[in-house]
Amino acid sequence: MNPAAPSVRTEPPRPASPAGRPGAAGRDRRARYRRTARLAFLLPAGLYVLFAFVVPVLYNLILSFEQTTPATIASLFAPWAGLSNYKVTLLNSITQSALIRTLSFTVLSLLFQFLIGFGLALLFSLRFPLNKLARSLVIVPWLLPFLVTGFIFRFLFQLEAGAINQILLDVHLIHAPIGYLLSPGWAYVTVLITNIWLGVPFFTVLLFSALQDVPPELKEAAMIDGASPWQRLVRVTLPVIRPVIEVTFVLGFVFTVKVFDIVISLTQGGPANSTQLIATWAYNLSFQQFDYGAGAALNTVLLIIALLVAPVYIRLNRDSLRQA
Amino acid sequence: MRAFTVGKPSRRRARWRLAAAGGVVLALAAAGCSSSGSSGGESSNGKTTITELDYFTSSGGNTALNWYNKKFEQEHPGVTVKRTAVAFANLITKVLQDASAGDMPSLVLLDNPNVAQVAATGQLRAFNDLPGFTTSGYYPGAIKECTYQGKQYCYPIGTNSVGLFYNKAMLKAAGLQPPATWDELAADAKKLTKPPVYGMAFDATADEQSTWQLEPFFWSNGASLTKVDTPSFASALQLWVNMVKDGSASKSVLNWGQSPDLTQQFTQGRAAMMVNGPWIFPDLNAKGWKYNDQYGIVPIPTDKAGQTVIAPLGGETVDMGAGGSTEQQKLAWEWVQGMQQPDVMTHVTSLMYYLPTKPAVTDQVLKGGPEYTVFAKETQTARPRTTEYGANYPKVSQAIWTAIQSAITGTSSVNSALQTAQGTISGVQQVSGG
Repeated sequence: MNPAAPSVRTEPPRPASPAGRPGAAGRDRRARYRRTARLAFLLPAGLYVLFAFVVPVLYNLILSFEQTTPATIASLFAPWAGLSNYKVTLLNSITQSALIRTLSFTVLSLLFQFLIGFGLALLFSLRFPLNKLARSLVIVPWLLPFLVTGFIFRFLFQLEAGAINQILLDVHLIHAPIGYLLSPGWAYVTVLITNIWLGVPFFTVLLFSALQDVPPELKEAAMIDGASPWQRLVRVTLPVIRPVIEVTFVLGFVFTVKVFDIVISLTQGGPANSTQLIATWAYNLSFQQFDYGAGAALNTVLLIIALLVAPVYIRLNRDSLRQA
Repeated sequence: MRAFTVGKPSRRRARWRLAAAGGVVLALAAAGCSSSGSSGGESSNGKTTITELDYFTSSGGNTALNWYNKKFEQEHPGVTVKRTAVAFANLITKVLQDASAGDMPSLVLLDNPNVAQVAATGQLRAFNDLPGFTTSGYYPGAIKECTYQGKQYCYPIGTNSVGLFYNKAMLKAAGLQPPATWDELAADAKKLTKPPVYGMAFDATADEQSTWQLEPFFWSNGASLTKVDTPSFASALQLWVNMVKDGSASKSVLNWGQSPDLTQQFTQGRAAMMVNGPWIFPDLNAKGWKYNDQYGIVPIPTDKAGQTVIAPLGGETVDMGAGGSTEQQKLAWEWVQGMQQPDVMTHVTSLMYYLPTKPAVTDQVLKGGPEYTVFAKETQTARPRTTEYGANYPKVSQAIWTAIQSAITGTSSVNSALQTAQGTISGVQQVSGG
């Protein structure tokens, strides 16, 4: 329409209010209207949080204190069980080994994901041909659904006709094919390798963008002062990107501690429960043994472990914001 | 451009609009929660809908149910059968969800070890007081697997079990007869092993399939699910462990499911013998493998010659959900009974590659398909898996498959693996099943 037209429309003359309302009441009404509007806009998000987070977590918590059987499933509440679900589940030897395994799995995953991810991030900070293409290829593991990755790796790690065995045999690194998914020790290593492979892009992308933000003046100054490349890395680059590293570790911890799909698609927790992690064992208790109470109890334990790092994350986030 | 301004007079209306928008959101959320709650009943034009839930998403089972539902609709004008098929792994979760919401489908096809469990929710309709109910004419095992706390909750849609499949050419080349005893099985498996061919293959995966495959070995040897740390149980497991240890069976049995893994090993000529069941017939047919030409089937070998083979009874069952209108219940029951008619049973089971559940019907079927003979014979003495533990069978099964995997991986000896399993099983409550 006509751009020259005044964009502010003059309001029609307001009819004098019959009660001769003072202006204060109008302002009051406007404030109330604003508050209502604000609440209304919050409503969808609030409902989402309520149904997607609060209700399931609360229901899980209630379930973990109940004595559940198939007969109780048709009613919302089952007989109260107190702490017995927690006691029985945590005293179970498979649960205990799953807890320890999850811990070692998480620590080892994060360590290698960081080392490889940081190495790749440093590599991509250099100028070389096809850098951009290589960088986009690194993200590919992220694009695949975890279940698909699991099945692909299961195929690669097969004893008979598995690609990995075939390659290692051909280059004479091994003399007999290895049953990667068939012995407890190897199965754990295989799941670990798969998970590291999956987590590397996350570390690479975050650390790479952090490296881009390191002011070049700092590095140049260090270079002029005669610092070796190693010193520049340890004394300049690492301290500058430390906040990002910390946040990446915290997020990585939360992602790794609840790993589920990879184990299910690779080993289903076997052989002989040797790759059961907390999440897969909780699933097994709930949906294979139909012991919902025990599964819920273990889920609560997992939730508590994940929540332990939440305060750390919030503090780190605040610190890095303050620095920025 | 027209600036979007809300005129003063309409401010009150705007607030209402906001409130209305909020209301719509709430209503949508509520609808989202309850959309699964409508189970389809009588509609205005006098038509009745009954719902049916199963896990036959493909192949024979899918064809069979579509055929029978259509036939039923033709015989009952004005009736619609609304069928839902979900993946095998999701069925029990879906059924338990429906049960917890008190909103069961009119008809549900459950795998037989799950019947007791779903019956325990109180959301299945017992058949006993329905008109024309009978248990005569069926295999005893087929009736037992449907019994929970003295009441009949289902009819099996068909039965199956496991036998020993063997590659005829390979046995002939080695000059061997199919094994009948464990010693023969172990010796033959060893002789047939020539890399990359393994003499024997079975399923030792971390799920129900491996327990189900070991059951005929230890049941025929006199062991039971209630007491697994016994010599008769241990020797059955030892047989499996030995075959893996001496290389007659691949260590990959820990990862090979019955179908398609075992079938593939067998048809690719990488396994000379395997434990499997009639549900793989379509796969064998597709490969051009014919009974008595490329392959043969014998009963699962027993420890000593002449012992009776006690195989586990497999197959799905037809169950009715509690609830629904009287009209829907009546129709669901007619649907169930219609499937028990000999001609329907013959057609449905032949499409699914199952055995009929009535000996009289089986005799007719065997005339056309000699490959079923072994399974038909085993069915006469087959045992349901839920007899001792009912709804708690999955826990017992898990204890056993964990022991199988521990022993085969060498994590623990056969005896200590079974002692651990016994420790778990002793803590599982026995529930009267059949």
